[in-house]
Amino acid sequence: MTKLRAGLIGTGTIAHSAHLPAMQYLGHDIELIAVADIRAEAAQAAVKKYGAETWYSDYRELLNRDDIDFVDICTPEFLHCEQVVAAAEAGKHILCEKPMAATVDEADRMIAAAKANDVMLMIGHSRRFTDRYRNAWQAVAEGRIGNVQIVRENERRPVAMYSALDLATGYWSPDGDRPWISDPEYTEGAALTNAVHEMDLARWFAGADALSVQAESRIAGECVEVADFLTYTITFKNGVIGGAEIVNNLPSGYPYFHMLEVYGDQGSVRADDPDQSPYAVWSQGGMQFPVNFDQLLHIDNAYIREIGWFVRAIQIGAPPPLDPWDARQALALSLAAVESSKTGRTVFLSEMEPSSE
Amino acid sequence: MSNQPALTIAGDNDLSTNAARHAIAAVPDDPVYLWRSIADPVVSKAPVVVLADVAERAGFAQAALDAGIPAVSLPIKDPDVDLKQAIADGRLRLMSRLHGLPTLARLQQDAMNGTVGRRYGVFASHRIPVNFADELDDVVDDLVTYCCSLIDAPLSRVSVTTSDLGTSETAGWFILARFADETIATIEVAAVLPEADEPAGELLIEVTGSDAVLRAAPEQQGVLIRGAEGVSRSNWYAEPSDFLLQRATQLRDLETNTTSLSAMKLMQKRFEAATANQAVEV
Ligand SMILES: NC(=O)c1ccc[n+]([C@@H]2O[C@H](COP(=O)([O-])OP(=O)(O)OC[C@H]3O[C@@H](n4cnc5c(N)ncnc54)[C@H](O)[C@@H]3O)[C@@H](O)[C@H]2O)c1
Repeated sequence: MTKLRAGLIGTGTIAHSAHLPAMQYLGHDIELIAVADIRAEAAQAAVKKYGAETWYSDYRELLNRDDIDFVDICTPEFLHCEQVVAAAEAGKHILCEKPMAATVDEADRMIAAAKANDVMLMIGHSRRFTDRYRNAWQAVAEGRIGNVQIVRENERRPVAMYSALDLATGYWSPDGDRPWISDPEYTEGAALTNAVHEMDLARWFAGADALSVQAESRIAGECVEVADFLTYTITFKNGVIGGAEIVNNLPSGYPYFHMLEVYGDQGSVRADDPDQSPYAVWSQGGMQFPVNFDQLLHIDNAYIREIGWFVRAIQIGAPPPLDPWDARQALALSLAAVESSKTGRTVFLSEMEPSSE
Repeated sequence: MSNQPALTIAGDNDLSTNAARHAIAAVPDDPVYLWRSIADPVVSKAPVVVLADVAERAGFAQAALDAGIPAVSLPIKDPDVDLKQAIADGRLRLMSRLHGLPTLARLQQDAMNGTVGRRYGVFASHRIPVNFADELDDVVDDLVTYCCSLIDAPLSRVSVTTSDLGTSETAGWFILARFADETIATIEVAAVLPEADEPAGELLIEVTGSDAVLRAAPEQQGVLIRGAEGVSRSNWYAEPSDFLLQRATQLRDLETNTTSLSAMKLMQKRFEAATANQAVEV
């Protein structure tokens, strides 16, 4: 199979911790040609460590190259629409990080641009590619728990989540004073940072689109100015109830923690950390789960699958392993939760459609 | 040795009988009066703890209050105006059967003594066997009352989703509650576990905060048996009445009755919010 030539835009936290290592692992299928980032040091670090030929501070120069088959976009969500549309118009296939965009209208424009330019677009909802969720979904799909009734997926993060995992580059601070991830000018907070994963999983396990959402949110920690706490209840069109409580600013010793529970009318599937953490260490500082981040947040396998399957689909001319429409619907759910938590109303998904505005 | 009882326990069930027996054993010099029937008069001015079955709680509480005696009760369904007023002015206080579980008694103390630092939220789920779906309302009220005791702030907003979960009656309550101190509670009760002999089911309570996360799964206090007939659990909870009586004493000593007031409002507003399918401001 011919190797595909890649360009990566946005060499920040997720690029360095997941995408670039996965591409390196997939070296038999992928050749990294160039990277682009407005922060020279972040781009240069990627060139040095992952062997790209060159780097650009303007991503359009990367798109102008005709020796690049696909781009991997790892910038914040408010840049996704502009960059995906530009990449589609440049004839590149596109893998773009979640959340798909900042608005549903932008997501629709991205899908339309990919279609118009006949390129593949996939949004990296990485959890869909993890062993943990695939195993759980497989059990549900095989009918082992009967008809799904409730999907609950809680997610907890230590305060370290807002300090960029100790990577040299750290999160990008557009205005120089605070990272975009905690700045209300650039993001809606937990709803888009992590709840969009839960939204996607709930919809996947429910097997239906959502009817409505009720949500509450708040700013809990002291280092952020966006909602870092979100809890919600989704009613799906087939009657399934989805719920999640997302808490991001927990004490530093707290492990990365997910709790998946799917109840059906004939059984249940559960995957709870830390009960199911494969490794625990007790010490004077308390109990630690050192592999939770890698093994349960699945950095390695998930991104290798995500990027590997995306590349294989291009190589064999198959549809993307994850339809961008799924990501668009997860985004709509997240934005509906934001709206509900701000207004106190039950928000119907029909209200999120651009045509209803 | 005093002649007057130090405590009156109202109700005629295993819980009240055990509580009376334990209270007598614990404080032999202070007799305890077991008030079995509302038809009987209250024999002393000793504080009343209502451990009766749900249908009788309002009657016992009202009779105690009519005799000028303050009462602590398990959750009361549809309290009338007088009982609501008694909760508002602190003569009637509410506790939950869950306060009788030692793990949850400890978690409640830790939640109140500042262990979690700045409190963020409370997550509580109670899953019960499908064959106990008719007890769902009581399970919700116990969980709601317990959660309010972890927060001790006025309730400000409630959103509720209910579901029949594929059956013919309500089998799941999904409650989001916001409190005046910004704490957000997520409370979920669902009859989704396989049929079982016992209603206890599976309970998870988590309190999140800036300094600590408290997590209690009381049913993990049990013996796991893998035998020829599969896997089963044999739980060994301590006698709940001891902890319930301790909680009653704590509640009586509280200066304000915020936790009971929030519990009462949440128990009522949950129906209003469910019917409206909209958040209800309190
Ligand atoms: N799949 C997952 O689980 C997961 C995990 C973390 C982050 N993400 C997503 O990845 C995206 C990036 O997040 P991050 O944590 O890596 O943020 P980050 O701030 O660490 O990285 C973003 C990078 O984009 C660069 N950038 C900004 N403007 C640019 C431009 N015009 N052109 C090129 N580069 C530009 C920044 O300099 C920075 O290096 C977000 O959408 C986030 O939600 C996904």
